[in-house]
Amino acid sequence: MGLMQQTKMMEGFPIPVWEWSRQLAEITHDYPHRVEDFAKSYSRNQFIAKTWMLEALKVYADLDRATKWWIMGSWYGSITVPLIRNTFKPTNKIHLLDFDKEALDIARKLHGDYAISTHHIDVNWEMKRLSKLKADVWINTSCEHMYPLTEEFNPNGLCVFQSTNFAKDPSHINCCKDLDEFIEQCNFKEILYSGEKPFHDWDDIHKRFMVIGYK
Amino acid sequence: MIHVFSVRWGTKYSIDYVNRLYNMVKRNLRADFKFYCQTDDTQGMDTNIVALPFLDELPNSTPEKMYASQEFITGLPRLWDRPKLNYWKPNGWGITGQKMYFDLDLIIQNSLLPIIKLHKDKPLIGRSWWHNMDDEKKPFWLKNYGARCNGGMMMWNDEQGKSLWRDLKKNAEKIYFICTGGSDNWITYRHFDKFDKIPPRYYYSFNRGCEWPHDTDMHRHRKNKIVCVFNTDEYGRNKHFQLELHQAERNYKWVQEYWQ
Repeated sequence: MGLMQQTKMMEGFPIPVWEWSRQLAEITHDYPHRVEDFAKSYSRNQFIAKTWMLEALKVYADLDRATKWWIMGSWYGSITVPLIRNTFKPTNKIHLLDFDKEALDIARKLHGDYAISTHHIDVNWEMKRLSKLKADVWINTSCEHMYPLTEEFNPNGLCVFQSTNFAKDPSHINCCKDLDEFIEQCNFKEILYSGEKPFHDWDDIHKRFMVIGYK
Repeated sequence: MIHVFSVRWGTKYSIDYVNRLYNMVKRNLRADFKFYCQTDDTQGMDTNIVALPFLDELPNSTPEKMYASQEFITGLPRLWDRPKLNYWKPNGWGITGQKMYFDLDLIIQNSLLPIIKLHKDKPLIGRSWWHNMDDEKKPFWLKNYGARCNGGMMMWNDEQGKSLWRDLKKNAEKIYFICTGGSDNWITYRHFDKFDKIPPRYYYSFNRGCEWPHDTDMHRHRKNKIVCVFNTDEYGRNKHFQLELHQAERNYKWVQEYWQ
């Protein structure tokens, strides 16, 4: 592919961050109203949340190249998609679901149609239908933005959910006050892992929660 | 016959708001109409106004039940203006035909006829033309389930209200949970394209202006327009300078002239 070969050091990067350079230039031109949002998708905070998830999955879940990944509220998949691809080398496309159509359009350009399949779906209203799909892993790191997945969402696959108690953001319509409340909301039959981390650097009150298990 | 609705609960707005709204409608609606107020407090209410009880078909939708419920976020009930949803019930209270709704905190400056003429195949609703439309395009607007319409004034008939009422009957609890901002957020999120919008040549906001980006001065009288809403909220532009209608009345003679 082209004259310029990637260096060994570049090949060692878990995420091809140079792709963001090209993508950011395109977004600035085609979607100027999304520049800030795209930048936020690979903030330090987002890196901590997503790498925490992948580290936990490596330890607590039995996953391989054939695993079928579905990501709810995927946004651009900026960090999650390359981390999954780098860590698990999936043979199937990773499925991204979001009600933000432009975010999915950008995601396809960012990751390539060979790597992902996008679905313009509002999870709030499609939980029962999604439950019937044959997926191995359901990721939702945006539970705080959505209606609780407690009753209507009952898939067979492994569920990896994150939420927070940071209620000051008006888009956080579904915060949980602590990890116990989030565990209760997840309504899992079997829990493989649960934990919490600071949500940001400003205080130790606000947390991000993660629960991995089966419904 | 046009059925004109309003709603009042709690103590934020005095009974004067209802009576003056009725007077403004009477002055500006040259057609047969009946004026209703959904309320449980009729003390001091003009005897020409028909009081309607709060419907109880949607869960926790009466003010009493709404405030008793646990469904609060940032100090307010989720979807805090639930009684307003009752108007979408076809044949609600046994009333059928062409319907019009007004919030209490607005003034009607001129004849309503040009707006009434716009009501055709779709229900009609105000649009927040004063919003920064560049902001509306930004992802945070979608993520916040943000409103783009302004339900200060609406027109519809029973047939046009059916699909909205079906949505409410089936999904009320989920809608309350998601649309924390209010009924305008619900309409934007679930039904926006089903509505025609009242154009900015007839509709503006005392606290926000008329149409972004060229006509956004707040507190400015636009005398040729028909409806002036007084929407105030904590996220609004210049929120510290926003005035409720009764506050504006004390400071602006032109408001006094209309609001009586």
